[in-house]
Amino acid sequence: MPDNDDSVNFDLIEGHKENIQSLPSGRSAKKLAQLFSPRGNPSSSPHSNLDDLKGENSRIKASFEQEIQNIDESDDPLDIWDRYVKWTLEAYPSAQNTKESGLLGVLERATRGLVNDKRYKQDGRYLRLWLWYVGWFMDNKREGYVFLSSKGIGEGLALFYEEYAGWLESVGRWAQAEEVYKLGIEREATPAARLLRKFGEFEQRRAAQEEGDGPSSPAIPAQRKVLGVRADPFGAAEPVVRDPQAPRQTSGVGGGGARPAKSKLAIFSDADAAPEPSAMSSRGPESKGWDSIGSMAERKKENTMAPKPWAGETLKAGGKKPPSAGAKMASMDKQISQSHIRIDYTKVQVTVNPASGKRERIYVDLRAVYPTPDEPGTEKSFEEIWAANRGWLDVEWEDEQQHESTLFMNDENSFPGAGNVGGKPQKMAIHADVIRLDENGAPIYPKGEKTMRRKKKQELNETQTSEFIFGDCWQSVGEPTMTLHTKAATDDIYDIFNAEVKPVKPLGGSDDERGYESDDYTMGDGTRRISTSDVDEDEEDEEEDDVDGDGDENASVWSESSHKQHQDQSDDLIDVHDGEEDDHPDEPPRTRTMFVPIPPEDYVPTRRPWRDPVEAANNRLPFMTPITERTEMSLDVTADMGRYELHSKTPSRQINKNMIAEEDEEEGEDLTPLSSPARGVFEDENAFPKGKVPQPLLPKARPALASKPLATKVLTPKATKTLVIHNKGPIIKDAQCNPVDTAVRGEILSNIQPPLTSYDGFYDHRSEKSDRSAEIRKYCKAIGKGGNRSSTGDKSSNLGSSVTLRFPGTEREYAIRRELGAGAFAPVYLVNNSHPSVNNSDADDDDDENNENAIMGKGRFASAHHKRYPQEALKMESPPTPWEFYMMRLAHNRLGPHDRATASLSPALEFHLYQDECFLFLPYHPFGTLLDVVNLFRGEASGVMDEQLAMFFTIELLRTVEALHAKGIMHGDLKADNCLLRLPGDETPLSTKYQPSGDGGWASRGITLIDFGRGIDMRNFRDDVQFVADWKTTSQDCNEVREGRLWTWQIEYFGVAGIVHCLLFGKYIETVGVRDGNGLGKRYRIRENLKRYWQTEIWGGLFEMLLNPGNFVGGEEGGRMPLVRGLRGYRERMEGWLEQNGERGLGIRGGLGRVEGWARGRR
Amino acid sequence: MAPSTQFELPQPPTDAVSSLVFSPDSSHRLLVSSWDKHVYLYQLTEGEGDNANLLNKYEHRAPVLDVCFGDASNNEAYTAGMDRQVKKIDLTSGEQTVLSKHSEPVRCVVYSSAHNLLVSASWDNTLHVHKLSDPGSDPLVIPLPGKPHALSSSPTKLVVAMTARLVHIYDLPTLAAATSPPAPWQTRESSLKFLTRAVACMPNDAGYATSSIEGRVAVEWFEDTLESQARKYAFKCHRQAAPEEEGGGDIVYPVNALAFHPVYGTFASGGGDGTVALWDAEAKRRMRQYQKFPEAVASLGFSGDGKYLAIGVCPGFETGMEDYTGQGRTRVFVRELGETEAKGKGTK
Repeated sequence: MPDNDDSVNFDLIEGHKENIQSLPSGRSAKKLAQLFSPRGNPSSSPHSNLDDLKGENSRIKASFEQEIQNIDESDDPLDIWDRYVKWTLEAYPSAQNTKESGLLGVLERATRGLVNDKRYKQDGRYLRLWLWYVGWFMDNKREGYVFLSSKGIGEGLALFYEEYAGWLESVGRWAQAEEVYKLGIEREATPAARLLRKFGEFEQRRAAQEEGDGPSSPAIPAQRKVLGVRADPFGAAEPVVRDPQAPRQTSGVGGGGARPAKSKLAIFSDADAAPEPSAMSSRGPESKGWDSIGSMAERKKENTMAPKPWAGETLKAGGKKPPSAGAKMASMDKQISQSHIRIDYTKVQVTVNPASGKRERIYVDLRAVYPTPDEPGTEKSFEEIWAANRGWLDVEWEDEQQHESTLFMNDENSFPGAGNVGGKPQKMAIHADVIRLDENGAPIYPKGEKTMRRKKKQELNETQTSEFIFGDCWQSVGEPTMTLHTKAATDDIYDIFNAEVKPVKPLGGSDDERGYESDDYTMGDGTRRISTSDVDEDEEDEEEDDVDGDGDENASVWSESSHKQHQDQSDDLIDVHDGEEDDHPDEPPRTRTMFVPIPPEDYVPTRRPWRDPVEAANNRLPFMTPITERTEMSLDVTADMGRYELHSKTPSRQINKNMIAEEDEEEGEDLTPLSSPARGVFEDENAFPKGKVPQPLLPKARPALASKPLATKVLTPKATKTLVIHNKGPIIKDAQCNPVDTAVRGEILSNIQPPLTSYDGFYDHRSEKSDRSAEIRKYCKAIGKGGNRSSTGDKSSNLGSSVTLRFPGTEREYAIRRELGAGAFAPVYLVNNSHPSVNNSDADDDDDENNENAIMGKGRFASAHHKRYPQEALKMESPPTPWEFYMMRLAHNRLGPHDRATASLSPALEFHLYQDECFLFLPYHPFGTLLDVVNLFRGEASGVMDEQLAMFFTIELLRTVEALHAKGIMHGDLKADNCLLRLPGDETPLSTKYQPSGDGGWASRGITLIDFGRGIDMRNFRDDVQFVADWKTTSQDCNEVREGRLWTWQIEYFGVAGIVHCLLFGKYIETVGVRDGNGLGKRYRIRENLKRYWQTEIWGGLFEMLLNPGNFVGGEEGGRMPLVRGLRGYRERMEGWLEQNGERGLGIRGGLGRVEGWARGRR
Repeated sequence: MAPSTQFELPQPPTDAVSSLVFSPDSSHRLLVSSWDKHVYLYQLTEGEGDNANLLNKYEHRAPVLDVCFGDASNNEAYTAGMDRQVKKIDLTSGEQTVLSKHSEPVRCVVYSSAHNLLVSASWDNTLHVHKLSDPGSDPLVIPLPGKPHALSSSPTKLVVAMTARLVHIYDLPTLAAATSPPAPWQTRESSLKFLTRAVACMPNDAGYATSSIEGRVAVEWFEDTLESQARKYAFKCHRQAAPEEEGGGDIVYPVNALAFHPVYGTFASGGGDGTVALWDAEAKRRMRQYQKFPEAVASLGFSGDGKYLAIGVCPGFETGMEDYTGQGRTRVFVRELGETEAKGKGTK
């Protein structure tokens, strides 16, 4: 039967009844049916009906809005709102605030808009709007009702009391509900009869309930005097609403409107009353009322006080107290937590003003002011922050009679200096970056920022002067800073040193961990004893006590620094960093353990070890040069090993003496190889170009060398090759050139002293052609096709004929196994070496062939290239050039076998040079590259390795690069795939804690640099040379190169930056130029942002240095690049950090272990 | 109308100014407390070429965070020290007496001559109320729910602004008479969302102004009637346009200092942006804004007769920069105000 238009099909509505909000006024069934019935033709798509509907609604809505626009002109604005809301309810019966209905917005505007309009306070329609709002959209209904009451809205309407009481009843607050009813009745709210009736009904229900009455505090704190102190569970939950005068984008009404000054509703009790709880507010006689209860949006904003204190409101019957309650006015904590607004600096520091659309940035560093936003009352004023920074908060104040200087004598801090320096406890939250929009360490904030960089200028406070020097010194403990290594500091040391050297107390015998035994090259961990005579006696005693803990830290740090010195200079220097200490003899005793090698009496320190060799060589006596020349030539020939033995025993004393003595006596004797520990003095030995090789010496040397079985060497015939002697200066004299240019290289190679041909392992077949590469390639291709047991005849035939390489001059044979990879210019093959060094770990058992390796002293091979392996790598660069071989050897020679960094340089084992091809044999590093490691972590959630691991590799890289640079060598092609993962062959275990010294297995892990094909020996050039790049640049080239500018060391630093970037971010580096306001011109920084929880200071500083090396030359020797000190500074900071923090989480040991596991597995 | 001139005090402090205050009478003496641990006493000289002389300076053990004049003879001053002491200084002899000690640095001191009370507020969350009529007596210690950061007194009220936006208002006569810590006369929540930086009371005892670190000032009235409460307002101030490359918009500076003109009831605000503005509290308008000072404004003070306005400027240390020093950049300017310069338009 067709539907009659007159009757409504309730079935339609029935189905949707859950979605229909009941209205007290009822709903038009017809309308509902219309809404929910399928419309029109069944054949027409349902969508069009909905669309129609929507369209229609939008139109109607729009027309309402139009009315609203003109509401100011209206006589009866309430009417407009009323109709609008009612229509909305009709059109969207679910009374939900959907996007379409916009119900909430309309209601809010309606209510707010008219809140102060006197006309409507007793208007049922208006009250109705409010009641809807409170009922549907307010969590804290009570607040809503009380607000209405405070505003007097509906005061005379029974409806208000009915609703309010009804709600109270529904949450079990019977007593309060009763109160409300009674109040309404008393006030004769209309319709009174109805109210009475409802009250009666209520009473009945209540009688039937027999439950607790619920909270008995006044529901409306109106006329009655505020009741005595009663537990008001809602008290706590009623913070006074924010005054709209703190402007917020709110639809709330400003407080300016007219206010009904009805005394009946005076909300405040008398001013003299002690603070009492009231239903309106939990704090005493609040002197301000409520201007608005804010909009939903406001309430929901986390920066308002909304969430916490209102937590209690939703509790049900039983009068359960909300946890935050307490309702005791006396409780200060409650006070604070109520008034507390959480200020989360990330959200507030920079905001956009919605009204104006303008961006607003707060000048004050909110992190500093609100370090712990969740804790109420912890914000700091500027004075506090500053006082803390200056250390004022830590001072112990005696009565004023005492002298100031005694103040910190009384300081019982374990670190006598540190405490007064406003030290560690204050570190939290005090920081001082200029507010920048990149992030820096916010999560780290409460835990402790390591940003107390005390500058010496704090000598402003004389009482703190000496503290600060300590501060500087002690700062280094566990927290390496650059200040240690300032030029001033090291100059101090030099000064002391150049002053008379007092006899030092003998070091404990067992403490001879001087590390100059050839193998245990420790960086000096463990306790060291300092024994300069300047040290006070009691300090000595202190050291006894303080064996571990602080002492260790100190020791390691100091020894680190002592080591840095070692690297520059002779290890014989006393590291008297506490030279500064000497000025303060009355300082409280402090633990100081330092490593003091004993200098020889006649020792004169070089002040500029790595710069001056160039000059020094020129200035030195001729006897120096033979050393140089010889060692280069001999390349650690056995005869030299005698030297080692001596060195190993008493490196300091003997070397020099012997060296000097020998020069005088034995012209032809084997001399200290380049790698002697005493290189500090004799750095310049490597400066071969200064070759003032007195001719006669050469031939003499030869026989000496030849006395050792160098049978395999082809050197002899070549030995007579005339040496071209360059008198002074670098080989290449141009002010600008392209260092990789073949002509330039050629010239260098022809002119180096000693000549290339004299190098051990260099086989010159330039008169011949080799023509084997084709064969090799073919073979590799064949096996590459996976024909192991293939049935194809061809392949099987190939199997047998693996290529074996033999070379004149050596008995070794190399069987090609497979191709390992192919660089741009050179394929690399895995080969089997027929004659590896036997027992590679112990040099003593060398076979004859490798006799040149025989070292008398303990330990290892004289040079890394003497160690031969069963498996090696063969690189065949095309066109053939010995450049890489030369650079690799140079690096090893200059650093010497004892430099820890040498282990990180791949050695060139053997080289055969033909007319058409060349064969460079290198150790096979099976563990993959850093790039592989980076890619390993791609699978992680974070996509990158742990910061600790990145730091470990960075440390290794920095150490290696430092060492190279200190010797004037630039790798020239630093990138992640040129860093191979270095692991010990025998899987020695790692100690739990990272040891910067390398002990505990740490030294056997790291990287190995390969591919020196672009290496540059800066000593071949003028000091002020500038390079130009003629090659096609890519994004991985440094900025100078890409921009066509001149460069020297910059490309190296950029390369390092690229690697570090790769480690940290797993991405190739990208930089952006920043105009520097400091007048430094353009600066570069990485595009990526450092993660906040990283050691942003360290990484940031490192990148800054690497990308803008020119700005950091100040701290360097000679005020110019390379930035050896700079790099070292960061390395040491990292070492310190890793030592301190390397056990967090998985830890560096775990992380490295994992990499290791993977690497070993992939073989 | 006498032209307003501005001059600089000679021998300013060598580090940041923490506070400055004129003597309440018309003797035009000015005390300046500084982070360089001294309190400086200047005397303005009138007549030809306004100028000032440094009369004396008083050294303390630690930075002095606040200073105020004492009794009517104005020969005494009180200081709030970082060394946690509240001290009295005899300005002529220079003798310093410790009145009381807090357990944390003392942040503010105010003196109420009508009640002969000296109140100090300290970061140990207490107020010390010293009854100066009874020297040698221990001060009354009033615990506070939060850490106080600003203190100001009107003829009968004392306003303490604390962390967590708490404001306590104490009634001075009550304090003077109290033997045990009284409850505050009123407790309020600050109208401002951010940390309160400064508080100043109206000389007519009607209300007070507060300022925050986020470029806003709020003016409130003591009377806790609805009307009075309805009148309170807040406004934004001390914002400077940010350079375009930073994205434009505004930089919002902290309002470090507030001071009411003793006669007209208008007040001045000084901000981290280095400007000082004069406001008409009743009319809710800004009357004028002075030219930008070379550094941030740290403290303001009107002279007792309202003829001068002293402005202490030094680099702001809002960010707690470690290498901050006010040395060489701390200056105190004194501005002679025209007749009606600080006069508002009257109540609306």
